[in-house]
Amino acid sequence: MSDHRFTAMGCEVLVGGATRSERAAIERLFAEREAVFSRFVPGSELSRVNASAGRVIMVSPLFAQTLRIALDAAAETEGLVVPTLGGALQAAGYTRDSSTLAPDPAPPAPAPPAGSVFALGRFVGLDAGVTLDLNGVVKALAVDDAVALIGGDGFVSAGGDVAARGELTVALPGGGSVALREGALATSGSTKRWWLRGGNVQHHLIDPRTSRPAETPWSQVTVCGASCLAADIAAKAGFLLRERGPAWLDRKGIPARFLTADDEVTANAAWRTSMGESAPCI
Amino acid sequence: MVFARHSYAGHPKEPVSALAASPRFVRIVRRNLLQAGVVAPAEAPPGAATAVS
Repeated sequence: MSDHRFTAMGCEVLVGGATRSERAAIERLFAEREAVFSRFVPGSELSRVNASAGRVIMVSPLFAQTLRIALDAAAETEGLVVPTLGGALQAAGYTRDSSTLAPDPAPPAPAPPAGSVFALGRFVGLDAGVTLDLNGVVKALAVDDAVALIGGDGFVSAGGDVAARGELTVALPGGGSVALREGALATSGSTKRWWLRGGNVQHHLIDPRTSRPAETPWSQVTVCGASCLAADIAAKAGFLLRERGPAWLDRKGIPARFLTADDEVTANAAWRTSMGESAPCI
Repeated sequence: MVFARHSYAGHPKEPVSALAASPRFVRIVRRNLLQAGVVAPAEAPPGAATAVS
């Protein structure tokens, strides 16, 4: 079975070890999730929810479940990885697929004030002015759900997210590779989805404390989690926590590898232990 | 009257509690969201790559 590639959610998706019907099901899954959760598709459910800010509406079971997970992620990361930063992303200029964003001499718009989201079952309400962006969890969940569709050993890779059934060797940012034995790997960073606004680089990882693209020593953070969702959320939190990222992830026992813009690698203790301390990445 | 008050469902003898997951259970589930996977030194050529998304 050869690897299968397609484009979804603004990135290339690579599927290995899947049968023809499994590949088709995975492609459908990504297309369906993108149609529901894209901030750039006017008819998506996310766009409908964002347009309904200020009142309570009923959403689909998939949307309600995903939002619930996003809110759990916010609680788990002490408010770092939150779903209510769509307005801040728009203010920074992320108004369509980042690969199509041209440099804009205008400075970023003022970030909207913080607001909250109410979720009870399938009823959702956003404060007026709040815009959801669920990209932080949607792609990782899609990868987790997609790899579950593969009957035998195989993997699904989308952007920085890789989930596998069976052991898989995965190439790392900045060189080297690692054996993924259980769970998933995710890399978050600012080196792909970026654009210029007012002469300054903007990127998609917003710091909720400033409502601006995060300023951090890391260019890419790679995390190994029990699932792609766990890895992706942890990688984003590690990125946003700056120098405190490695220790924060160590407290949770999560292996993480931090890369600077100069390609210097910092691995936290959990990652070094996994590598056997003296055994470097090949 | 006394018998009814001690057995009829509308007159519970104990304080009622909400039919919801206990806060302790919810805390455990949330703690489980961020769990580690397992990585080890590579012994084979890469089959996939992780890079920024």
